[in-house]
Amino acid sequence: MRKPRILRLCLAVASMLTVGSIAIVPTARAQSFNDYYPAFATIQKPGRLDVTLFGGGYVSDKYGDVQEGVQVEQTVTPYIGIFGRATGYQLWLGEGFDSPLAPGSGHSARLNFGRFQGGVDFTLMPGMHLWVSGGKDAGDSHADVVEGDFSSWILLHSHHPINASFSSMHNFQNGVTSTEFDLQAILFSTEKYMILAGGGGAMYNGGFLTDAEGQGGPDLGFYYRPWQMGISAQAGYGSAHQYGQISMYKQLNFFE
Amino acid sequence: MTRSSRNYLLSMFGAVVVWMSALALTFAAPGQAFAQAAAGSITIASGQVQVQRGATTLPAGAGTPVNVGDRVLTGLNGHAVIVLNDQSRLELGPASAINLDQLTGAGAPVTHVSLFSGVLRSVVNAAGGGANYEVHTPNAVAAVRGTRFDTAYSEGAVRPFYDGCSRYTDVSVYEGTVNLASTANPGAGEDIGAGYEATVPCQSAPVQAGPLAMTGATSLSGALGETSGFGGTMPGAGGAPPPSCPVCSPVNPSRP
Repeated sequence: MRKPRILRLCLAVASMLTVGSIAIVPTARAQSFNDYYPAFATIQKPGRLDVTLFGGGYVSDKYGDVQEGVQVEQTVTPYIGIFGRATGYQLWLGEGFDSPLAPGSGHSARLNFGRFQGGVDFTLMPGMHLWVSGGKDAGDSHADVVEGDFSSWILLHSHHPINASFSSMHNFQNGVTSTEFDLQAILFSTEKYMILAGGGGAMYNGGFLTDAEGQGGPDLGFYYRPWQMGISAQAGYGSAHQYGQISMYKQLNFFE
Repeated sequence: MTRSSRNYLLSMFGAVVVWMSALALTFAAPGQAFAQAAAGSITIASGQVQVQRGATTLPAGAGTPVNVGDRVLTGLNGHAVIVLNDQSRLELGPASAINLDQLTGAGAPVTHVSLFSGVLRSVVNAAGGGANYEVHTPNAVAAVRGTRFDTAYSEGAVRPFYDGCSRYTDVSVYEGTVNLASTANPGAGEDIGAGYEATVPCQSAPVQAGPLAMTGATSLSGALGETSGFGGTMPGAGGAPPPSCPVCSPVNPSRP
């Protein structure tokens, strides 16, 4: 049962990469490998350590959670970086939640677990990244997880670049494959901030789920350059009925 | 006319010529002196900062005057701020070299700064003639219609998707508008508005502008290691909704 699912995942990754490549390549006239990847095998100097702090919350009729974590990434070459990510989850299950922070009646106990992942970040093209990672949960979950994240900027040299991203994660404990996707465009850019808007959602299938589940809705983002900090909010409808989510991130960079 | 009277007239004429020459020299001297007049001074200097004046190279610090015709250089860890007489501010990043070619309001219609390497942030005092300010690099001209922007020139390193070009002028605009043109075709410039950046690769026309810190252009903040590019919402972490019941078991979907 797992093989077809992983195959589907690989196909999804391949198709996204193809779409991203088609979108970007016509804007350049690359002629050789060196045009695509100059200084491919050289160690990046100066190196850079990126630390991203992130956190957010999700609430729906059926469950809610709060998550917080940190990702640390070290450049190796201009095209390859290694990263580690630690995320803490507090999850509420049940019906009738008003908020994951103040659950209403009918809820079950809160579940707490941490997820620790490590992997490699490939810069496939300027603005196009593929993160591949594996890891394990600890606490109320003991799952092994494997995850692939993809992000690509299209039309970077325009006033409204578009970001297509998706993240697919397989949980070997419950057999569920979760895929999140998002498409956002920069509406407005100034020296201080950027405003982004688009739409996104998620799909879940496999494991104990008898049918594929999912959700989707519009989202809005704001990035404040001086603080290198952003916030994104999304609301919509899906298998868990109405939902809303908010996420924040703060980037720190250390040049070596 | 007698010989003596002719000699008298000749001597008078000679005297007039001598006086005229002396007067010409007198008036010419201030012009020469003006070329060496202080155009401003260095107000902040850290790391290695030098001023080249003719054949002389002087170590520079806060308070060092900068004349028209001077070349100002910073070392790998150098950083300098020059305030011109019209209160315009030039900020040099590490490993940068500029030449103050001419200053507006003193016989020249345009303030003209040449950037040979590194990064230069220009904060042009519009009240002091900000519309007449240009930064020249070996392959581009950035003409100001605003007040604050960065110009960076680099050579030797090839960037992806530029057909092997190794010379780039990057302009990042924070306030106002800058007209960026290739020296090969100075009449076909591109207006870059606040919040955007653009690049002139080799002798090509400027590429279309994109939002700040997203197209790979070098800025002063980036050169000083203060910020890095915006990658967007981090997929899989920052903007990820939680997977549907990530710790539920296939036996009892509501409990781990």
